[in-house]
Amino acid sequence: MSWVEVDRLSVKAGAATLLSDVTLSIEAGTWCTIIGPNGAGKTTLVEAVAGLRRVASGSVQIAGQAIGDLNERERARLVSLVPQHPQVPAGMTVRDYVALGRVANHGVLRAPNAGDHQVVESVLERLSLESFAQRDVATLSGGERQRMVLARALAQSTMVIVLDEPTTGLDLRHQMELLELLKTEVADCGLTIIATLHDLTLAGQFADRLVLLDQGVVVVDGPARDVVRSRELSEHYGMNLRVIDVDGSDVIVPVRH
Amino acid sequence: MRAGPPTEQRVAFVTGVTVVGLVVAMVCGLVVGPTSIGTWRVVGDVFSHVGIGHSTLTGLQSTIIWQLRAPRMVLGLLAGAMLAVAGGTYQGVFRNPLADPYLLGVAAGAGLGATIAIVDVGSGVSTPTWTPLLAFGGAMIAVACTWLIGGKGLRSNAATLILAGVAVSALLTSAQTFLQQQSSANSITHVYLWLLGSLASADWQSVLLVVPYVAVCTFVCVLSGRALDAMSVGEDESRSLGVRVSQVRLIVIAASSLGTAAIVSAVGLIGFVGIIVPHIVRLLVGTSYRRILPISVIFGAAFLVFCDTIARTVMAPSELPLGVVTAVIGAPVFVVILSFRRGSVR
Amino acid sequence: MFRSLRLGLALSASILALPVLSSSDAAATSSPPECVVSLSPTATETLFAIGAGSQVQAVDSDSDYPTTGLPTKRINALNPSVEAVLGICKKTASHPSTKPDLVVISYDANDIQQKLTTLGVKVVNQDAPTTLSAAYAQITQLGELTGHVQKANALVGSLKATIDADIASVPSHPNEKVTVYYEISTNPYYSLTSDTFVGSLLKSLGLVNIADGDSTSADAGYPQLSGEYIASANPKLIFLAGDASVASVAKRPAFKETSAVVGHHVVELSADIASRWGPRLGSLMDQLTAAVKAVLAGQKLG
Repeated sequence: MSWVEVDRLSVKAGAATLLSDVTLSIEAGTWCTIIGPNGAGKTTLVEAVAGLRRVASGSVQIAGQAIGDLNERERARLVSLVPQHPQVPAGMTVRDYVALGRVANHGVLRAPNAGDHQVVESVLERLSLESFAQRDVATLSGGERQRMVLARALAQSTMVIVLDEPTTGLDLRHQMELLELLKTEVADCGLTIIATLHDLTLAGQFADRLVLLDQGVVVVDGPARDVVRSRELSEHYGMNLRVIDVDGSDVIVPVRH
Repeated sequence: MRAGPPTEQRVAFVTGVTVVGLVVAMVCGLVVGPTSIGTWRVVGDVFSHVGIGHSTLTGLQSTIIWQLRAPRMVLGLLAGAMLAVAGGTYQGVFRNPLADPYLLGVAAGAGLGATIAIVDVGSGVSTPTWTPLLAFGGAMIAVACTWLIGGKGLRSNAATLILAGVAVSALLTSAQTFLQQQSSANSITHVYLWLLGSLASADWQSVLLVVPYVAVCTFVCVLSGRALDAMSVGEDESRSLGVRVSQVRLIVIAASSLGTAAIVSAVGLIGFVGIIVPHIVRLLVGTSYRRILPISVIFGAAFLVFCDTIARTVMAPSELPLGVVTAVIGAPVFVVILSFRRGSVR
Repeated sequence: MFRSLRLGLALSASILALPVLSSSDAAATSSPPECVVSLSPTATETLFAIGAGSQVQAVDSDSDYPTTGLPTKRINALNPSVEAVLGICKKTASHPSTKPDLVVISYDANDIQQKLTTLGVKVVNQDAPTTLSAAYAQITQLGELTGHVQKANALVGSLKATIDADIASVPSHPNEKVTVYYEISTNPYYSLTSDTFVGSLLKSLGLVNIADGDSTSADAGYPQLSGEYIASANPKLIFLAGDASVASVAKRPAFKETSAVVGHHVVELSADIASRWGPRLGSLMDQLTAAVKAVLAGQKLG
């Protein structure tokens, strides 16, 4: 069985259907990116995988456990979230913020133990944040802040990380840095990543697998190389998309007629 | 003071100063008063109670110290501590700097309960038995209503709770106003004076009544500091971090409300402490509730006893309303610290 | 579990809240009290009228009569410092303690009655009476407590005489109903019924109180009347015991056409005299009576 199993998931908001009968199987240690036009339901899907949405029908299972049956703390040990617009409370140090990732482990009544501190320090180091550790989070630039939010998710030590548009607000260099970082984590630690990205080229270059979502329904689901070349991609984006091979990597460009 | 997250040294310094302030306030609460009794004679009397030396106070002076000033000082400590920590806790749960302990209807419920007791039960006379009981009951019923309306379910959030609290408060306040305007001028005076809040009717009986509530509720609130810090990133994100948001909210609101209701039933509505003390402490030790809450307990206790000492002494043989003194002293202190810090309020 | 825990706490709280039954100071002092504190303006007037003025060492801030001879120490009756009251008396050879011998209150603020009583001070609560005989009883009580029984009885006697004479002097008027509106406050209009103290005085003068028809049990004798109701009741006599003046009443739309305004039968009462029930009751009754007689005789007032 796959590490993450989404089985006929439907999510509604009032009368509107946000997701309809979505089924996905994601292997451990792979990177799956959800793509699709605006309003496709990408954010809803990843939030549902993280257990933050009320499900109308269907289920999400991680490591064989139905996350709908778990409480927040149990769920937080399986999956962590990097939201698109994280709320970063001013007055906290970077270290304390990253340490929030350990709350699932030690609980809200106990202080972090030596093991927790070690995890936090190692994550800060891996993400080059040690020099910022004592600074107020409000003083960080966009790129640094995004790294910090990722650090918090990594500190949670879950096998699955869900990221919603992690490149939001970052310049190109920081976008690449962040994605390379994630790729390394997948390679070194066997992390399973489920992300949404709007940049098709980056989506194609970094993911093992792409899922095209449109209006709450899975249109295409397969290896990245195949999905980017699929006819459905242009159809659902409503434009003429071409794939160009540059030094062995796929670049997807819209072409005007 | 420089901006930025506080160092451990600064936190330790502030804590130390606050504890010293508490001791000074307690001493003032016993030693200062409209009838002057020498400080050292009071100290001697205290020591004589633990078996060291003998007291030089007269029977009347001893009565004043131990039957009037001491229970009042202790009740002030309990009230100041509870209101401050409840206010800080509410500010953390609702992520709202304007939250005070009366937010979810405690004030309106207690006011209505007291009004019913004074107007109907006592037919114009404030009875010592019924007023605190009905005030307590009214406060808890109000919070329960607010919770039922705005707090249940996965999609409830801080905003719906606050709105529910506003609605419940408005309804109960209007009921109170209706009762008041139907009744005699005597009752209206009684209710008004009760609402003003005062420690003047403190005795050991009311202290004992209040202690268990305040002890348990303060303890629970202080323990919740870590959870409140985790919840500062918003509800969805804190759920994803593993915080059982609904459960934490329920427990924390229950503890704050219960403790506040107990205090209100004993001393009426003392304002200002619950909203301002946590802010002052936040300006001094930063935004982490792990630090704000325990220090607010001490600061609030010291602050209220200090204010009450002034309220009962400067206009002797009359007393000043306590709420006036807390505002007159608290507001400038807050402004001074704010101007030094120019930090952010979470 | 949670609920029953709270219930248990509430029950234990209610048991502990039962007021401690304090032993009142039963032994009557054989010598008259040297230090009396009056926190009631009415009691102050009575004490001075029965000759106990020299024993009064502190009064409340509203006490303003008699105009001379009042002690300088003033206490806010609504927010008194119990501790200060305990230390208010002058120490003399015959009275070595600073504790008062007698404290008269009309409102129990800050739990002062219970606190002082448990500390051995005699506290008497003489709040507003509802009948004349209750008012007389308060005067008699003060006479007994301060050792001026004869003067107190004399005062009561003279008040009774004045009031009885006033009532008798009103000519009988079986064919004419004299309706009265007694105003305590303006905007909204608050009045009082015949169940109240002043209301009973009005009734004894044969007046028909328009507030009697509009009151319910909830307002404890002090109903709020609407302008419309007052206009349709058309009182022949209006007493102003609040802030309003005769001129301002004449300007009110609801009142302009009433018999009282048209016939110039609107009387301003001194707020102090109208709100107290002590030695100046006679003077209050005189004013009320004069007004009634003027209405019956068709004479204008003021």
